[in-house]
Amino acid sequence: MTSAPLPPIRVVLVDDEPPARRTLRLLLGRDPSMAVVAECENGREAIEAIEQHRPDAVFLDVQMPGIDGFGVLDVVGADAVPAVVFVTAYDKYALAAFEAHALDYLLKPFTDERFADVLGRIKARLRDQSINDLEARISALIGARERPRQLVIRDGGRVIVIPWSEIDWIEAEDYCVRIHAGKEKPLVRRTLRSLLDVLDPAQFARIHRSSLVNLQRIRQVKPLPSGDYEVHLVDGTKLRMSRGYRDVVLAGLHE
Amino acid sequence: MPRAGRLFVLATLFWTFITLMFCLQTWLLMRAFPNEAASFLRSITWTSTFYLVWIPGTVLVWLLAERWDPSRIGWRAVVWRQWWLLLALWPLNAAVTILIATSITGWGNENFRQMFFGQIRGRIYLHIMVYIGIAASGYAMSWYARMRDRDAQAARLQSQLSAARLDSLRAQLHPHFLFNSLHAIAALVREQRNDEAVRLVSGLGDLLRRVLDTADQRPRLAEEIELVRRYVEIQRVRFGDRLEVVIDVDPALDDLRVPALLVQPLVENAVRHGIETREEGGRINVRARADRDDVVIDVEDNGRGLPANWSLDGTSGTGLRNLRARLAAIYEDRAHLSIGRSASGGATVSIRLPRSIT
Repeated sequence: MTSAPLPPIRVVLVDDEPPARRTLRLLLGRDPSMAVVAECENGREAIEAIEQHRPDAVFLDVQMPGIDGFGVLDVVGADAVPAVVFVTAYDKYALAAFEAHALDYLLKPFTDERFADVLGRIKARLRDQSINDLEARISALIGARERPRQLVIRDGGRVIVIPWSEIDWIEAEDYCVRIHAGKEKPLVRRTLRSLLDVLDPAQFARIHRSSLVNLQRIRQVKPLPSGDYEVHLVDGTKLRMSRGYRDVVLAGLHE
Repeated sequence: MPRAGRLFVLATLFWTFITLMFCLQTWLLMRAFPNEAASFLRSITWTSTFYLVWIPGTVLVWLLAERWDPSRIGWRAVVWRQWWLLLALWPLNAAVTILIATSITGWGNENFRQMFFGQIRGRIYLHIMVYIGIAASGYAMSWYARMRDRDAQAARLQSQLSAARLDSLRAQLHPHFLFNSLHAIAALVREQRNDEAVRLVSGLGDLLRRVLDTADQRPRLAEEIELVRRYVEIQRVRFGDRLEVVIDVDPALDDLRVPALLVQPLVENAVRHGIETREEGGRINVRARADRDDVVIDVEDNGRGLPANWSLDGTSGTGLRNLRARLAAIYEDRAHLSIGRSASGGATVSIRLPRSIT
């Protein structure tokens, strides 16, 4: 046995199903130039492992409970991993997206040959980083995907997953937004504008230059002498609504 | 347009047509006997009025023909009621006819009383014939409408059944389940765990066979539960410790005949919604027990439960609604399907079936 002349390629495996993880480990184990540094069974673990190990490559299951494969890349950033291989059983949308952005993917179940093929491409990519435009392609993929199922944010070291329905309202604070979701009130480095792009307009409406509200949390809308309005939420919070947003909010409430 | 409005239009068209035919006939006679033009005009006025005055009465008789359904109240009651209605309409129509017609032709040398009895007596057979005709056509129409409703309902039921079949087919062949299972089998083969791989392949075969098999519509409960076990076995290989399934079935119910694919799709639902979406996995309880003349089958998970305003009728998912339609087709109103919150916060689907149809 000769050891590989180069340092091994460090790999993180992400799949919620044990047999699928075992398969990846078994196949990677046949290639001495590959070293598995972490195995994760969900998106949350994957985010932690990628940030901790900064691997060269990730085998990433697309459908997982909680944060899915796309959500993982969204949180860690498209540039966090030089080589990403998506693994999926069946997802018409995802396949079309992978094809469109020329990303590597494996369809379950896959053959040993197909796996070797993908490994070969990973090695080529890592060898020749100059032609690596993976980051741009992954960014494009994330941008093109459907509306995320939940808000995934990092608050300090933790990753928080907040389902849209649990958000009460959102408030702009300088260059950040504060998410009010029950007891959780994390501050997120995003703009209100960028949140508006991913939020469901049927569920959230802007009521002020600096606030968005979950329509299902509104208990009453009270006119003020100034011509503006006061929005009372179910939890007792009172928010100011500019008259310009009145019609959109009322239309949303009537739906 | 509401039904009464449609009937009114129909009655108006009918009586207008009759009136026009009568006028045409009289006009032709008038040309043949020009000397008697005056009496013909008088005849046209009176008879047209008589016909047109019947329009509201016709609508009334038709509407009541719908309500007085002989299959509910019996023919004898129908005939009696129609008879009283005729006795009411006959003088009423005669009086209205006189009031309208005299406003056109004048009273001549008769007063209302004489004219009224003249109308009643003179047109007795016409009144009765007209009435019988209207009532008969009313019953013909409502009978036809009922037949058509029944056909439409039968067709709807048929399509619900096919939808249910197709639905379970799709659930079984749910690509995510199928391809992940195949991937798990490939994993076992790569690890040379041949016995387990074979067991899984055969389990998958059983599931697919049951779904494709349209002949055996009423398997024994024991077979249904065995199918659940095979399904769970496959899912356990995929999910490992994340999935825990406890099956508790009263052995006395083993031979009960149940609709095919009754329990397994519920367990599949619980896995999809209660387990697959949760990082920590979950537990599913399948229970079947006798409750007097019924059997109650519960599938309970400890997942995140139903959304706050979820309802069976409001859901976009068709699986449970189809199952309910299928139960209604077999047991009519003696089977119940209910969905609620389980004690552990997840969802419980509960089916109650009569044991007597075996």
